[in-house]
Amino acid sequence: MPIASAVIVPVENENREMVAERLRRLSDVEVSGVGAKGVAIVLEGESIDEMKKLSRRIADWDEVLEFQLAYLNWEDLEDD
Amino acid sequence: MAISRRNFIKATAAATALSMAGLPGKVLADEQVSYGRAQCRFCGTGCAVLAGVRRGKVVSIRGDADSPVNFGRLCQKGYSLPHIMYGQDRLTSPMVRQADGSYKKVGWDEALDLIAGKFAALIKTHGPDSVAWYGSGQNTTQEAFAANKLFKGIIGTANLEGNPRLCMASAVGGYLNTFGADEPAGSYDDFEMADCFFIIGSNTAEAHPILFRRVVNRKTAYPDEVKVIVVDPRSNATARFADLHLKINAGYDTHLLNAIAHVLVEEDLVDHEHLKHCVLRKGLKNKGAFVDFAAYKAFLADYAPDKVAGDIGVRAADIRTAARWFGRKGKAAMSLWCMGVNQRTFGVHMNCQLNNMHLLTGKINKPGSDSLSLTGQPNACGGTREQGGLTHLLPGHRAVANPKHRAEIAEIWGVPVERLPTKPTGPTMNLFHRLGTGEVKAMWINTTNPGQSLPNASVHREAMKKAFTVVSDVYPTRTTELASVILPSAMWVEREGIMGQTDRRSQFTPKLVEPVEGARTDFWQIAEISKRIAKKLGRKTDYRVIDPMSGKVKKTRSVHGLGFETEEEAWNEYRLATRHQDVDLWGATYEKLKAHAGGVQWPCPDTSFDNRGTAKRYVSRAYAGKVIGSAKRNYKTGYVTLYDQHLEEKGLAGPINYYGGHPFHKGAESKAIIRVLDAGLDYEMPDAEYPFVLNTGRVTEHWHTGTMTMRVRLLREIAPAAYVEVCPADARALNLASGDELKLVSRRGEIVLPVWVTDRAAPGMVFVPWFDENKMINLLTVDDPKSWSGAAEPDYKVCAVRLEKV
Repeated sequence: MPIASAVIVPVENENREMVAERLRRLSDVEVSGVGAKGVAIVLEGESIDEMKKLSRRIADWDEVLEFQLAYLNWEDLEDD
Repeated sequence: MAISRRNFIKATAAATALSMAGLPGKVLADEQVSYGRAQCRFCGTGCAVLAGVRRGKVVSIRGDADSPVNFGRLCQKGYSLPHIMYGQDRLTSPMVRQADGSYKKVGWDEALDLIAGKFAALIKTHGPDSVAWYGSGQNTTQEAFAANKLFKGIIGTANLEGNPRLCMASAVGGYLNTFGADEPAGSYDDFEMADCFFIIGSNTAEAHPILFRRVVNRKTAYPDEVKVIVVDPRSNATARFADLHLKINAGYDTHLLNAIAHVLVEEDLVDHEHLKHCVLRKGLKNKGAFVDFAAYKAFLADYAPDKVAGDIGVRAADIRTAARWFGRKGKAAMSLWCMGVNQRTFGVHMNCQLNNMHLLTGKINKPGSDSLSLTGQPNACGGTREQGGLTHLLPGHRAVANPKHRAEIAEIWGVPVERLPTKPTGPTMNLFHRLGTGEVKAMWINTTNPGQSLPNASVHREAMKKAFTVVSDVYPTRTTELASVILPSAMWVEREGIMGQTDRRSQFTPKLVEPVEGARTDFWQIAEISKRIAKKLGRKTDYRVIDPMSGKVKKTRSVHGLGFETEEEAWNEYRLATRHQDVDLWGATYEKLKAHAGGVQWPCPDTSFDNRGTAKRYVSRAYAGKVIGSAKRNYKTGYVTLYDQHLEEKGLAGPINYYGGHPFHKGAESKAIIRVLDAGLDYEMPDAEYPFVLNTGRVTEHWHTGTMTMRVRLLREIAPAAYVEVCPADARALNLASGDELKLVSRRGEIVLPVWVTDRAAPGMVFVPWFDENKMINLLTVDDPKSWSGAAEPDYKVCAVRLEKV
């Protein structure tokens, strides 16, 4: 199961909290923090396909300027 | 409390994102994943990644926040790096083509003996020019250096070319004609200080997304002050971000650039102080006369915007606006370009014209100002331009035709000077032409895919199939299918190596994992073939040990082979070849390259650990202090100087000294040359029979011929196949809708593609990406020598086609 993190850059900087709130409502997304350069999130998906769909969905929001991937891990987590 | 593996990874992921968002985040120590810093395998930007290895496989990727290139950011190709390594069809055994066309797996010794035997027999019977090497801007510098030594130093042929000829040669021609020295004066640091970005012939947003992010950040921070000008016939992603998009008619770039120069001169946006460091000369190379500024002004009169705007296809007022934004006094300007300029009949001219804009306005050698040619491959600069991986070159910006240079390199290589070729044979397209005629009978193609990437590909595919062709690659390609022998190569972090990028930057990539079973590094392949060929030809090379700090050379023995065995030994010999040259990498020790994120920028003559080279060329230390405000820039580890270390080492006079020593620079010593160049059109403009322009290029998901990125499911699914962009007006005229099939016919071939009706395309022009091996657009593109730029680079951007609805 892949795990990724990203920084979501809002179109308007003052909308960061609003974007963070909307992100918090997504089931596979955890908001890690809201910083000067955007909203830091962690994503989990059943597959890369799921993660791709989720990231595209976020990137397509009107208030989002950029979905900036920060980390991606594909390792097999069978030991969990 | 024990933490689960899943939570551990999530914590690591969160810490990485927090750090990028500007918040504190602590990455926990991971005992199961070991990270190593590597350079991204794709474009010429040179992003640093931290690749996580677990159980012998790369399992995670994050950008290296310490890198002054990408500051932790990566594009979607960068994040896909692990997946390029583990495609189901990785080549894992040497294979030899049988009489019936099938391939038989053989052992390494059998394959290497077969290749060496064939090459040696041809050399003995038909001479050294019967064999050839065709390499790549993706070979490491050590691989490229080893191949250069094998072919020029052991075999004795100048039949050595590489795909950067099709990519960067025009940019080299531009820098040599202007400065007498290759590669840019400034560096990536200028992005954060530029007030104007002039982007031409580059879809930076899609092809160099991490660098474009720096443009976006600069513009976003200073939306009113910073201006972004994009020149492109297409309304691509880069153009859509521009303050001013000059959507020119395909082929009219040289007219536009002279028109901008006209405005700069007419409106006195010229820096007369900087002009004292320039001369003006008609034409390219040494053919034309030197002229004065008044003559240049008179020459530009024919390019007044009102006179040429109609042909160019933009408003005269917009040309004036572009010139005024670029030439604003007291402001910095940066120009960026790529294949849309280089892969053009007038590619060298356009490069010079771009340099002219900077020389006229003095927007060079200052913070935020530079004419920065973007590179397409991760080591086109290092392995080919600097190392000398073309027919006319020797390592360290030396020339095959120069006896002094041959003697210097023979000494460094430990081979008799008589063995080296004395003149070039021919550039890439000429080499493949000679392969077709049978003059060249055997070719080793390494880390590149000419069966898909050469223009007019069908002709050259026949040549490759007919000759004895060895192909080293990591996956089956449209070139391996033509090979006599296929060698399976190691890739990316399966081997160590050094690569050089756009802003004179060299970076180290360590070996982090073992190659997939059966594959071997290209360096090893070259070394093994060298031993075998040298033995069969009875040619020996001095094996020397080089002290990496003093440069003291000690010969230990004579060997059949390259005279070095490891990548580090090869690098040290190469460093010696650059020492005291303008491309001085003597200071780029292995120790430094391993330690510093972002590597070393030449010239770097100094081996002291903190010295990471030169960020600003051609200026003195005093100039840097006065004009730039500081003599050095400190990084987390080490520093770069904002003055030219080569200039200082050689004791050359400042404050500005364009010291380039290339023959094109003759008569202009210590000054840059503003080239006075007539505008011209590409070789194959549309006509009544073929009324449309075909333009080719990249999409953001795929890189080059898709050999690697098409193995990544994510990228393959987003962009699975080639298509043809048609603008709405042309679609209406041809009664086309998106999804329809359209046949494109050129004088050389035809292809059927699905249509995408989009306003990205320009009227009269269609665009097709070239990554799709099943829809090879290069069957149609032009390879006629008349289409080559002054640097023998063919024109991939403008060829004439007709369109037929299927």
